Amino acid sequence: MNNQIMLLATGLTLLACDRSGDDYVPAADGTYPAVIDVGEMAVMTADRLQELRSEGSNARSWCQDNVDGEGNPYCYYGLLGQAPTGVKGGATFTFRGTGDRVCIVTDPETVFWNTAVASVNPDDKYSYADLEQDDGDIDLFAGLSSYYTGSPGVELGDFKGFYTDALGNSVAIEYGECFQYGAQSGMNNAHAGRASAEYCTINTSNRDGKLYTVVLESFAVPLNDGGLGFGAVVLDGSCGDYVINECTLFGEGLEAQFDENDDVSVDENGEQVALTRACTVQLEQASCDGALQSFCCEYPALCGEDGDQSQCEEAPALPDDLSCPSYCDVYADMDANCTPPSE
Amino acid sequence: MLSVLLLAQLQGCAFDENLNSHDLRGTVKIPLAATQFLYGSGDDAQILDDIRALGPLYLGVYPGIEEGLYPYPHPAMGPILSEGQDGNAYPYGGNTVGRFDWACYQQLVCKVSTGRFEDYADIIDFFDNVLEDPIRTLNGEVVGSSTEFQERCFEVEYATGDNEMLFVGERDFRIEGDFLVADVVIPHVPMNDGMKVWGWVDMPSPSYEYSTCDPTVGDTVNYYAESYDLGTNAIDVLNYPGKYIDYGDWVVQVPAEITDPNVDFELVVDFHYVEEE
Repeated sequence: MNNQIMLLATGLTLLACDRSGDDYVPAADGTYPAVIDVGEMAVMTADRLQELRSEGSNARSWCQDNVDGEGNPYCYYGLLGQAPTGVKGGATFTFRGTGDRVCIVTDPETVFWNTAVASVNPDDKYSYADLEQDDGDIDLFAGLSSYYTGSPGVELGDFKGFYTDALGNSVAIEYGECFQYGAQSGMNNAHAGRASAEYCTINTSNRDGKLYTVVLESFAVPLNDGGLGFGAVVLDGSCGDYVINECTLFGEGLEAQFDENDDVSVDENGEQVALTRACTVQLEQASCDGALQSFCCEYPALCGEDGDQSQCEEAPALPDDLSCPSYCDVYADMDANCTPPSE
Repeated sequence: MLSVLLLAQLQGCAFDENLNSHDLRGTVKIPLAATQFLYGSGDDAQILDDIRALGPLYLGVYPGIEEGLYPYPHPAMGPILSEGQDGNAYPYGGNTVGRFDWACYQQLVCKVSTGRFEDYADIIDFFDNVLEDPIRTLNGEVVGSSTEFQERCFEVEYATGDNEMLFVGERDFRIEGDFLVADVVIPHVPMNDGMKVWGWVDMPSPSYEYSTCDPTVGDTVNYYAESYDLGTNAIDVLNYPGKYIDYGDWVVQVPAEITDPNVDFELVVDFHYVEEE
């Protein structure tokens, strides 16, 4: 009898070997390009950033319409797809040194937070669950284009070079200049987690007009649609001159438009047609305002499916500026509280 | 059966991984004259002579040593990546003879190296009679006895024995003729035929500070009202030696070339880097 139990247990254990983890990675089906090159971008002033931020969900079209004298956009919003196994996916763009400090910022979709689960004094701001399937992750790298090893639009590279010492040993040298500092002391080459903005300051003194390459490596692509929406911008001055968070770049939660063949539509410039997913700008603002609980209770389709609804009875009222009138038009099938549109 | 198993296991001890990693052994010699140092400024400046003032002796193993980079021989540098900073010397390995250690009082942060003082009385004597700057508690009271010093150390370090106080004990250097001599081991160095062992001794400045010790880093003491950093050497001393070598330091002129990691090297630290008149 004992032997039979052992055999059964062994068999069950072996069944676990069938688990591949594929469910945690979107299919690399080519719906969205895995590697893109944006081209050259202009450096944006603080005033222009304010203008962009005021556009909310129209940020992408603002970036397409506003260019400098050379025709270079001040910002970029786009979508990246899952790269095949063994291939690094991501976007690249270039900018020219200003002779001073510049701040590179990228924000992947949408908003992520760790759900507060403490039994005593949980942080109410984060007590409603996050919808993890709509979150992506981008790792930011940058350096002088002359050190970049990739082929823009074809293959992502890095900024590593090699020095050969007097005895013929090869020493790898990091020529990248975009270093982010982690929350822990000593972490001076850190990257932010999912859906969080990444940013770094680069000093371009004595390199006025010199070309820099920025690499946005897609670390994780959202599971809900296999498309990683993101925004990117190069700001004039140090990152310390700005408040950089989820609300620095609004509207990166992009949703592609599809044509009759189920292919992503492209405009006359070859750009994918995409719109900011409804209510995600308000979600971003709620995150910055510390009002995620109220927002999620009001618009649960934007937050985690397993969100604890009982907390909503005592949640503060949602401020007017975070309301999303189009919510039920878009998410009616995901929220039973939305009144179905009349026939 | 058990014997066979044990025998098989013991055979594993003879397994050679063929790693290119070697412990370099040798001796370093410093002229006795190196124990002299300038202390004080202006009319109060004086030349003191005491072996206990020797800071750590840094040893690095480098691909090559070059003349002309500094007024003294210096390791060859890699490319300059940041404006105003040397290129990295990319050492293969290194070690020190003595290191900075906190000797229980705030006044002694970055002032005491291991292997220089035999006991507590030795430290009190040095600061009292050589530097004429007695060790004081935070309240300004002079530390007058070994017992008081030891008690303070045991309290603040939560220690139970002198063996935990690494700043007191046997001295690193012995006197042989006109030299101070120390045996050294530079562990786990990848063998590269022709690599050079080079180094320098950090000597105190006239205000009795060591350029390789940063008092704002290292461990922190939090003991009742006391809260401050204990200081330690900068982490890149072997990568950028020129950044730290200062007037008064003693530097190796002729590096030891390593062609066989199993042959002991001998290194003489014989160049005194002083300000030109």
